[in-house]
Amino acid sequence: MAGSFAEFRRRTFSSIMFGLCAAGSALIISILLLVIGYLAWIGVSSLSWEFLAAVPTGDVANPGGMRHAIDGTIILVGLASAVGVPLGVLAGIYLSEYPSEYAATGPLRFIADVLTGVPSIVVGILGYELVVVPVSRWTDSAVSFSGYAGAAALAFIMIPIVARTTEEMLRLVPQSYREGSLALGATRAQTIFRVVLPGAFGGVATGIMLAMGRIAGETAPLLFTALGSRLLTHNPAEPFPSLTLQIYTYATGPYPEQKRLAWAGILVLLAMLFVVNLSIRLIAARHARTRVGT
Amino acid sequence: MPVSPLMTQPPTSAKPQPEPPQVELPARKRPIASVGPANASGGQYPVIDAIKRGETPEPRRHESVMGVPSILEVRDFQLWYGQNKALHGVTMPIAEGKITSIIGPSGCGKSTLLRSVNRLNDLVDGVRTAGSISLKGEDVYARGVDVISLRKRLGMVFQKPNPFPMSIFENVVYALRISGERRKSVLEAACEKALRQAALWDEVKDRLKSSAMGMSGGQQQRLCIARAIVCEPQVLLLDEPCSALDPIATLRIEELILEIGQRYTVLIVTHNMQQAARVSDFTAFMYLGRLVEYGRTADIFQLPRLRETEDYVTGRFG
Amino acid sequence: MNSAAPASPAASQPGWSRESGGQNRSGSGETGVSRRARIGDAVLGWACRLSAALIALMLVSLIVVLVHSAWPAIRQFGLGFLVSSDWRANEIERPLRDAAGKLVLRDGEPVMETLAPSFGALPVIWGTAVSSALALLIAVPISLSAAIFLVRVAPKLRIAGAASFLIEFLAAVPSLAFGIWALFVLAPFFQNHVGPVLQRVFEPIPGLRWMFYETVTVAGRTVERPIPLTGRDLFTGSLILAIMILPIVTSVSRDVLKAVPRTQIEGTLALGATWWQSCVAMLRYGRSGLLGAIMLGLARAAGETMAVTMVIGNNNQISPSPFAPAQTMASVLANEFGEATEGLHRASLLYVALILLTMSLVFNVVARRLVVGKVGGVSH
Repeated sequence: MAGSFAEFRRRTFSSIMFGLCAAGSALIISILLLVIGYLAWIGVSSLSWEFLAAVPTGDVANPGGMRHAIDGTIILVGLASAVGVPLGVLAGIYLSEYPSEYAATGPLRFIADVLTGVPSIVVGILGYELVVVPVSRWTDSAVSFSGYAGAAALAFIMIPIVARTTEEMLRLVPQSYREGSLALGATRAQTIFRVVLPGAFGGVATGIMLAMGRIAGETAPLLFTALGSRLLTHNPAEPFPSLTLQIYTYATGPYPEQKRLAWAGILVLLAMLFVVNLSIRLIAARHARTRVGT
Repeated sequence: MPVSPLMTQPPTSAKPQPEPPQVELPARKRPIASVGPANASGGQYPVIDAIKRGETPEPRRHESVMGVPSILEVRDFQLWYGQNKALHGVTMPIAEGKITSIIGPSGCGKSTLLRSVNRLNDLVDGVRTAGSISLKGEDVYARGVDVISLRKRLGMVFQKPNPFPMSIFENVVYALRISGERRKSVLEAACEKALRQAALWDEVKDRLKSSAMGMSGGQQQRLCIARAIVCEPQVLLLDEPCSALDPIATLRIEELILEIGQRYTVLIVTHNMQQAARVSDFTAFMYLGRLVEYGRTADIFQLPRLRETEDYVTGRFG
Repeated sequence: MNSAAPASPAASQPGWSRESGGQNRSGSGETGVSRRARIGDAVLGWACRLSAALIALMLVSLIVVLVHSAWPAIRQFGLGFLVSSDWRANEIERPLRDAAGKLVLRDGEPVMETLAPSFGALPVIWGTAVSSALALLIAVPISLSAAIFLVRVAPKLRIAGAASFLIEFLAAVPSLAFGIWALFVLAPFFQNHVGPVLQRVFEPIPGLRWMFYETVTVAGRTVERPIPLTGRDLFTGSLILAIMILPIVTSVSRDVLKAVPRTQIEGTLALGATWWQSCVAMLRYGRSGLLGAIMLGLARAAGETMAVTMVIGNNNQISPSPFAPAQTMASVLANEFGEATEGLHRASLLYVALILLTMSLVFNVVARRLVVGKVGGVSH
């Protein structure tokens, strides 16, 4: 019977495609496990207390540690967040809570979306042209790479992300909260700070943490702004070290001992990101508990 | 206590109110679109038919309601959402210290009217108004009115309970906090008083610090009432406060409204006619943005002047 | 606030404007607290407006600065930059040759010609286009099948949450980590194991010789020579790009497919469709959103820098072979911008950055237009 043969073929094909779909998912997850597993495996064997505590020695056979780079990344992310988080959150509040100014919010939302798609290397070049070059000219010095320039580039990446996630999270807050608060005679600022933002706290915090994780892992924007440094410095006015820059330098360099440090550095970076991700989940879970019933 | 000025003049003369200058009058009165045939009811309901034709017939306001001292005066109030006119020259006084309910089929503008009193409609884009609503003689739509202070004088409870995502205590004292009150003793006293008045104190006194989101729907709604009365508002606006609740919770809220009505002026919007009959002193019947009949609750339900009202409250129309 | 009210001129709104602008007429409510609250309202409003305006300023400054700094190159090369494959940072002096490739001699001495510095973006545009296309070719089938699995199968197995989390985590892994893995693991593996096997399998096939041999002109003669399979080439670059765009394409596709109404799937199943046929119906229903997901992946691939820079070989040439080293727009910027001191060289790199920016903006805008409305979600 031709009909039933066609039916058989149809079903077999379906089963094959089902298998392929399952295989696709399995492939993605095994790639992840492969990459992360490999990084962790080599990284752990390269990791030492010296790595975390020591600074570069200048000796390629015994290159020391990455204390300077870890500090550098923390300071860079801190500086960028100190600027980027308030500006991003305020911009997000504007996009969500001022709907009557839609003539401005519509285009601004679009621009923020567009900015999240700017390649990070282009942001680095902008930082060079907009911060490093003018500062060099004003101070009449040689090229003024600095931690501030690096932090500015990272903040540039951070602001649109924080603005858009904040907006999305504030939109999830039921309109009835706002009406209830306003009906009690609260001003808009009081409504936003006492009801809307607390109601979206978990989501906004998650967005901020994600953005911080993202910029902590960025290398390209720092190449021509912070430049990197082998010195332990806490002065952002100087060329500034970062974990990513140091890893990149070591990984692409010729010395095996430095390559080992690059592996360990990647592991530390991933561990930092994992902690961030874990905190996100904890915040989100706590947040979900306080919002039971909405 | 101001007596309604409407009482001294025939209702028709309420029309040419001095317009607040900033409120833009519509260029023309648009008849509402998609009205049925001119005599959809076969002549049975002449007032409703006129309304469906886009006219605004003079409502039947009973002398009994026009004679009482009023706290809130709605005068020829009109409201547009963009191009759609939602309220067509509503004129009604709200009796002080009494419970007044507004009934009518959905889309009749009763909630819109309620939200106009504390200017919550300002939040909606493209809303325009004309006419006036005055609270104790002050026009709430006049230029320069402090909407924030206005809203502090008017409590409001919404259809769906909307406790904020914070503790029970913080919910109740929210209105005090935003007014800058920080003294713990004052806040605690006010919280207890409001919760007692909302008949919630005994149920929650041991868990004031726990989240309000964990309460039952009926408790949440009583919490919202407590939150609304903590500042002792001049008028309490209730927007279908029981529509999201089960019958038992509804009953408790109704008892609460009756009790609160002894202390406060209450304006309640409801689609439940029995509820209006049970809790209110005065009842207004609205249809398609117009006031149709307004009088004592007993009169509206037992001796209505219009056939339309009688058939609506008995469930034969609407 | 999601008010869906129709548009109307802001002037006719009796809304917030009056609250913020008016002074109190009645005088009854204006307390110190109320005034302070009002000032707080105004301060917040302006802080928000300025922060939002900063976002617009950021885009404007990005475009203005790049155009301004790239101007010398734009003026000199114009649109010809896009189709030129020159990349000479320094002046070059070399013996002049005639059309036949013979040295031109005068008095027994070769005549020298001088080539001025000149730049063209064709090799990097080629490298970006081919590596992104290859990456999509590899990633899209895997991503779509995984998305189908996540939407149609995983929820029944109660592993949707875990699988989604893993994929989101993959998206959060920095580019540098993939780069190091590709440099230290993928490239050597390719060089030692995959490359030779591929060569043995494909080289004998007629018509595929171009994959493993390149023709070069040396001293005026055209010779064919084998391409060394180092593992640092276009193919490895594409492979790591594919791995890096898997998470974004998968998670956006999953969101798009999730938004397909159940009735669509149930409708086809009720008509006797097999599992796969109902999946096809689902894919068809969400096709514009899926296209958007692919465009987002393309934008990501085109702008990706670090991992590609580490394995693509960094050679400004156009070669048909996927096993030849290449260069992308992003990698040429990472490699050369730091040492480009000479004016025209730097301006040319900025010109490349401008092209890269324009390209990724276009991809992003199109992609978002396609995805918007299909998924109610956070920006990716």
